[in-house]
Amino acid sequence: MLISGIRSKPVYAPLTADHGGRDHLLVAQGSGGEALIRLLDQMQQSSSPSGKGRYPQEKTHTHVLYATESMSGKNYAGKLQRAAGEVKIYSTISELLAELPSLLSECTMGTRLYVAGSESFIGSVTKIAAQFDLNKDEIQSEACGTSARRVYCIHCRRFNEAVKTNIVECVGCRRWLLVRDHYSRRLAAYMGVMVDAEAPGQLPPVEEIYQ
Amino acid sequence: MKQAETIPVEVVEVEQATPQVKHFTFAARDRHPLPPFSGGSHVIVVMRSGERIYRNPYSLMGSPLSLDTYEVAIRRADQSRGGSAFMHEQVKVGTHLEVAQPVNLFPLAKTARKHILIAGGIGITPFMAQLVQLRRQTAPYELHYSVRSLEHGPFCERLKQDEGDKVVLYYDDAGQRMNFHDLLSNQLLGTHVYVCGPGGMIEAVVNSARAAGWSDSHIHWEQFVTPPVGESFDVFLAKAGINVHVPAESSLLEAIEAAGVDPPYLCRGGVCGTCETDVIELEGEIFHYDSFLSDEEKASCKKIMPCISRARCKSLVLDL
Repeated sequence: MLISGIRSKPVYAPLTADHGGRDHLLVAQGSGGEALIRLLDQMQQSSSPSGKGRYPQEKTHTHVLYATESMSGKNYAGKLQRAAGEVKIYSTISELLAELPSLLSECTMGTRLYVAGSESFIGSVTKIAAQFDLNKDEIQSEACGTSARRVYCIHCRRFNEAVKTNIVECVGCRRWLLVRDHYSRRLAAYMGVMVDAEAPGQLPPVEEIYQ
Repeated sequence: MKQAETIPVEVVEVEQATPQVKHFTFAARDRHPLPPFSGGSHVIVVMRSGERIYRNPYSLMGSPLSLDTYEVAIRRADQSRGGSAFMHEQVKVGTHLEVAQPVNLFPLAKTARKHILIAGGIGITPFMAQLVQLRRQTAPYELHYSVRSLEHGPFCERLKQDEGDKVVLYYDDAGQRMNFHDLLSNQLLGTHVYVCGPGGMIEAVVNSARAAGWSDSHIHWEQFVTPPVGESFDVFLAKAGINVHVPAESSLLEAIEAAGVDPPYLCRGGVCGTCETDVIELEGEIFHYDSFLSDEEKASCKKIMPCISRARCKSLVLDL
């Protein structure tokens, strides 16, 4: 029933230091903190006096933002502070997201954005970054922790957060939705489409596939 | 691939913009509106000089909002193969020419939060059309324009009048030089830079932008190279089954066309990649002048861009 190979499904990869950038903005939530620690370690090693950077004559800056809110309960705030020195800590994701636009408006060309956390966190950050015309070659993202999905009901337009199953009952209209791979960057969510429209009440087995 | 049909045009105005640059205005011969275009587009102008046909790309510099005419500005090349000399010497008000459909390989980035345009000399032309668009939108923009002198700078006065302090002029004869590092450092996130001018200027801007940390998706440049004059050579076209002689003054593409074979093309300046052709056999060397193939592809000599590149060879077989 699921159409595979949908190209809008985001692709994630481990964060790696982009030495072409001058300023590095590292943003994470929950278990994404671990990815940032790995990245900071890599940056430190490669910025040794021998200078592996493409343009070692220019000084680089690194800023770290971290939200401790997490579904898995993992908190890397302490470790991050030891690795990065200065870290801005937020207790909720929404506080971090609320401050991101004003931080980005102070950034200049040459900034690279690194995002780590749940897919819906990444989606929300990417959406804000797009308003500042940050392109694919300036943003990296690594999905960590839960693969639970943020699902947009195409019928009543409500968002269903942290969906773990292939089929979910919409919090807005109570329709049973099939969670598709079709992803909207504008909405930062997967599309949910009524699954029993032709044969009301006949549902395929509900399985937990996004853990 | 059949080439799109050309549009018959008539020259309705010729202005000597500088001692070396002429500014031509074309209207469709039937006086219908010309096809729409966006700032940064170019057209191929087809010139018939006796037996010889020239097809040269020129940026459209008129307003994209008024389609009664197309405007191009042409600098007389120092070592003209004939195209720019023909335009300068033979073309007058009333001359009939043809133009192909406009193509844009150098468009403005629609999502940009700021635009920085950098031009050198005749490289100003694509920006003339883009400025019309920029004036009608909200993102800030600035033009930095370097010319030899006021006398040799096409459209300097007009730009100052239209753009005011959005344009900064740099006169070589007054020792004024752009500082690309300062220009591109500490720019607003989401800025795009566009450069059109001599090869050295493009290289310097691209390098300065990268050194300031800019990612490539924010750096735009366009440089049409005119096919260089070289030694003559021979080529065999495998599909057509014919031998073609490429004279010193003619490009490979022109020679192939003269032999009656019409490979696809778009820019005729080594930029777009449309005429990319597989090399089946080569005994000798290829001189790649395009900016489309990667260094590795050039080194492998498995592909050639006939619009611009040449060879010195005992034998060259192309998949045409």
